[in-house]
Amino acid sequence: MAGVEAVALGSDDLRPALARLDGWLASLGASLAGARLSASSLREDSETSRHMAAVNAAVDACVSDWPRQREALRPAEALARCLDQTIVLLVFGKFNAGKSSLCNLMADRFAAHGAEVDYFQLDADGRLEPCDRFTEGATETTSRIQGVRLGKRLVLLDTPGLHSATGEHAALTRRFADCADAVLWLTSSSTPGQVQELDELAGELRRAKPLLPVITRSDRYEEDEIDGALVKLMRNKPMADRCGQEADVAERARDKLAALGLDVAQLRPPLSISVHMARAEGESPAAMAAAGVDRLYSALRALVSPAQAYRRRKPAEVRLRHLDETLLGGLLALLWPALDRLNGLLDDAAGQLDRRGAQMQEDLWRAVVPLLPDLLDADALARDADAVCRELSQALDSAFRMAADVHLSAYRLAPHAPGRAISPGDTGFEDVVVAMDGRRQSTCVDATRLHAALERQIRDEVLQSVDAALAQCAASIHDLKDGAARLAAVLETHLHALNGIRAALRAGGQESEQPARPAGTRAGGMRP
Amino acid sequence: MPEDSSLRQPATRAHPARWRDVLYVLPQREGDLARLDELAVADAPVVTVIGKYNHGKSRLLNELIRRDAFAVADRRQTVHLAECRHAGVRWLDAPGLDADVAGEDDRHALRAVWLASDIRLFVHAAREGELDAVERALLEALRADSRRTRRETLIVVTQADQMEDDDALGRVMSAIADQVPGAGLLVVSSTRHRRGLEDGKTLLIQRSGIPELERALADALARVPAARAHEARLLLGEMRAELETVRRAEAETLSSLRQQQAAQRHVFDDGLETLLAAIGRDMEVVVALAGPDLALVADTGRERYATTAAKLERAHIQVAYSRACIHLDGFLAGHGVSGLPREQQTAAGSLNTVMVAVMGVSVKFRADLHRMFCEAPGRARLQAAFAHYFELSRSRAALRDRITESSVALDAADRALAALPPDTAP
Repeated sequence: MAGVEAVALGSDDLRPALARLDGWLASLGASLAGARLSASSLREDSETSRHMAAVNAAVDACVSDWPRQREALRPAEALARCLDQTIVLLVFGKFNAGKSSLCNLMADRFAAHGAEVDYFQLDADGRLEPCDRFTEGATETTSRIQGVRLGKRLVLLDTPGLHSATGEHAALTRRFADCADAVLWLTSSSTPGQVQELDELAGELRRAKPLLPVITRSDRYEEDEIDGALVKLMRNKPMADRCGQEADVAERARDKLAALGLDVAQLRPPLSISVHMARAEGESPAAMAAAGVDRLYSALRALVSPAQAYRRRKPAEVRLRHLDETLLGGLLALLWPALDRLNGLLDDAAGQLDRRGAQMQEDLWRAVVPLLPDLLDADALARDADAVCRELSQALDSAFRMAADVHLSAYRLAPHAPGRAISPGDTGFEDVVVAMDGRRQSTCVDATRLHAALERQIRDEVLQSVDAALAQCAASIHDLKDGAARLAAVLETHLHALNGIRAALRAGGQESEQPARPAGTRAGGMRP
Repeated sequence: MPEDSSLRQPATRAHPARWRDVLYVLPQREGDLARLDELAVADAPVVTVIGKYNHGKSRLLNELIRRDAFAVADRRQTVHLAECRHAGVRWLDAPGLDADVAGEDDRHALRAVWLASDIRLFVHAAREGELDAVERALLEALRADSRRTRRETLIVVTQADQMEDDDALGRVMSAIADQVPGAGLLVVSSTRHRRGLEDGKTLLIQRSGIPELERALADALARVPAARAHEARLLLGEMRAELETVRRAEAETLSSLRQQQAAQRHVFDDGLETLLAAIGRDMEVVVALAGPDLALVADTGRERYATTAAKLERAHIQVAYSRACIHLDGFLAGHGVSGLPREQQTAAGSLNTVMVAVMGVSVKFRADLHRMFCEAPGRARLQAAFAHYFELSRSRAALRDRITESSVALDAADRALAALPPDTAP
C-alpha cells in the first residue's frame, strides 16, 4: 500500500496534441461541407437520389450533433480533472462477479492501515457525491457509477454492468470509463473467463490500458451430514484448481485480445481470490494470504507503472477518444454503409443501362413503325411527305417520353435536341406516270421508296436518341460516383490523420507503440 | 420454427440422397429434415445436458447414470460432444456455452440440443444468481421449441450446496422463477448426492434433489414416444403445407404465363387475319380494275392500247402490292416479329428480312397476287408463315423460357411432395 502512496504523478505537456486535435476537427468539418453530393440529372424520387440524399442527411445529422456531443463530454473531463492526482482502476465484470465485495474489502484494508477512504457516486455532471459502502448482492444492486478513493493515490471505479447498460446510460458509462488508467476484469470462479465480456472492454483496451483478470469467489462450501443436520464449511479452492483456472483464463483472454486485434502484452497474469475467505479469522494475515489478497496487492503494485503511462496523457486521450469513437466513429458507422449502398446502386444502374437502352429502342420501334402505313395512306393523295414526317416526329417524341418513363425513370433527361426530327429529304411520294394518248399521265401514287427511307430514318433516330439519352445517364452516374469517392477520401484522409496524431501522442509518452487500430478501417467493402 | 432459426441449423447436413428433392425446394428446412432422419433411426430416448461451462453438467450426468462416465474438473472441460448409454437412455453431455473464443463449442452444443435430443436438462449453477442474457435467449428458444415439438426442457439449478443457506438459495430461485415465468425449477446438488451414496447418509441424498429430478425425468421419458410421433407428424405436416403453398404459387404463375402466351398469339392471329382480309378486298378491286380483256379492243388500236393497258395494269398492281407490303411490315413491327435492325443495311427496302422470307423477291403478276391475297388457301399460307416467324421473335422466345422455368419449378415441387413420406411414417 505504501508503494502506491509514494508514486509521483507528473503529466506530459499536452497542449500541442490538443491543438492538433482541434485543427483536425476544423479540417473535417470544412472538408465535409465541401464534399456534399449532388446529381442534377437524377430525379429526386429515384432510389439513387434518395440514397444520395440519405448520405448528405447523415453527414448533416452528425455534424449538427457535434456541439451537443462536445457538451456531453464535459462531465467526463470534469471527472478526469477531479481525479487528476490518482491512479484510477476500472472494476469491470458481470453483476455476480463480486465487484462490490472486492471494493469493500480493499477499502477496509486501506482504512485498517490508516489511509483515508471515501466512497462516492457520480452525478450526471461527473461530480462526486459521498455515499455509503457498496451493497453486496447476487443481483444487480445499483445503476449509478460508484467508486471509492483509497488513500491519496488510488481510486476504484465500479461501473455497473458496462455490458448490460443500454442507450444514453451506456454512453455515459463508457465516457466515464475514459478516466480509468487500468482495468480489473472480475470473473467468477464458477464460470471463469467468459471472454465475450471483453468485447465491451475493447474501447478501453485500445487505449493501451493494462488488463488484470481477477478470478473472484475462488472458494467452495464443503458439507457433511453430522448428527442428522447439514454442516457447511467454506474453504479456499485448492491451489491446483486455482492454477488450472488461471491458466485457462490467461489462454482464452490472450486468444480474445488477439481476435480483437489488440496487443496481448497488455494482459497481466490472472489471479484468484476469495473475499469471503479473506474476511475469515478477523482478516488475519494468514487468511489474507491464503485467500489470494497478497497476490492481488503485488499485482496492483505491478500495474502502477503501465497505468501511469495512460494517466500522463489522459486529457488528450479523452479528447482523442471523443473525436475518434464518438465523432468520426459515428460518421463512419453511418457513412461507410450508406456510401457502399450508394456505390452498389450506381454500379447496378450503370450495369443495367445497356439492357435498358436496348429494350427502350425495341419499344420505340414497335410503337412507331406500325403507324407508318396509315400515315402514308392518309397523305398519299395530297402527296404530302412533309405531313407524314411531322406526324412521325410527334409520334416518335411521345413514344420516346413514354419509353423513357418506363426504362430510364430514374433520370432527368435533357429535352430532345431540335432539328433532329424526321424529314423526307429528297425522297417523297412518287407518281406512277404512263404515256396515254400521247400524254404522260399520272395513274397512281407509289410510297415504296418513301416508306423505305422513313423506316431507315426511324431506325437511325431511335438508335441515336436512345444512345444520346444513355450517354447522359452514364455521365450522371459517373459524376455521382466521383462525388462519393471524394467524400470517402475525406473520411479516409481524416481517419489516417487521426491515427497519426494518436501514434505521436503515445510515442511522446514513452509508451510502446500501439498499432493503428484495425476497427477504424472498414471490414471489406469499397475503398476509394 | 423457434424465434432464432440460426439455432436450428445443425452441424451436419440432412441425408443428401433421401431429401434431395425436398431440399431443392425448401433449403431452409435442412435442420428439420436432419431431425426427421434422427427420429427415423432413433431408438433409445436422448437426454442432453446444456448450459454454461463449469455449471456442473458432467457431474450431474455422472450422478444420474451412477458412474463417472463424463470427465469433470473445476474449469471448462467438455469440448466435444460426449455420450453414454444407461438404463435405456442415451445421455449427451454438450460442451459448455461461451467456452471458447471461436464459438466451436457452442456449435457442438447446439447440434446436440436441436438435432439429437428428446429431453433437455438446462443447467444453471445456483451461485451465479439470475440467468444472464445468453442463457435467457437459449432458454426462450428451447421453451418455444417445447411448445411446438413437445420436446421437454427441464430447468435444473445445480450446486445447491454452494449457497450459504436456504435463504440465499431461495432468493436465487425466486429471481430465476421471475425470469422464466411458468417454468418448473428443479434444484440439485451432485456433491451431496455423491457424498450421501458413498457414506450412506440419507439426509444428503434427500437434500440433493436428485431423487426429485429422477422422478421428473422418468415422467418426461415416458412421454417421449408420444412426443416423437407428434414431432414427426408436425415436421412433415409443416413441410407438406409449405410445399403445397410453393406448388400452388408456381402453378398459378405457370397458368398465367400460358394464358398470356395464348392471348398474345390470339391478338396476333386476329390482327393478321383482319389485315389480310382488308388487303384481299383492296387487291380484288385492283385486279378487277387492271384493264379490260384485250380481246375486246379493236385491232387497229390493239398494239398501242395493249402497251398502255399493260403498263397501267403493272403500275396499279405494283403500287397495290407495295401498299400491302407496307401494311404487313407495320403489323409485323408492331408485334415484335421484325425487330429494330441493328446493323446498317445497304440494300434499300430490305430492312425487313421476315417480309423477304415470306413474300419472296420475285415480281408479282396479277394471278400471283390473286392467289396470295384473294383466295383463302393463299391467305392461310401467309397467315401460317408469319405466325411461324412470330413464334421465333425475341419476346415470344423469352416468354417460352419463362414458361419452361416455371414448369421446371412446378415439377420440382411435385417431386418434393412425392418425396415426403406419409405423415405416419417418417
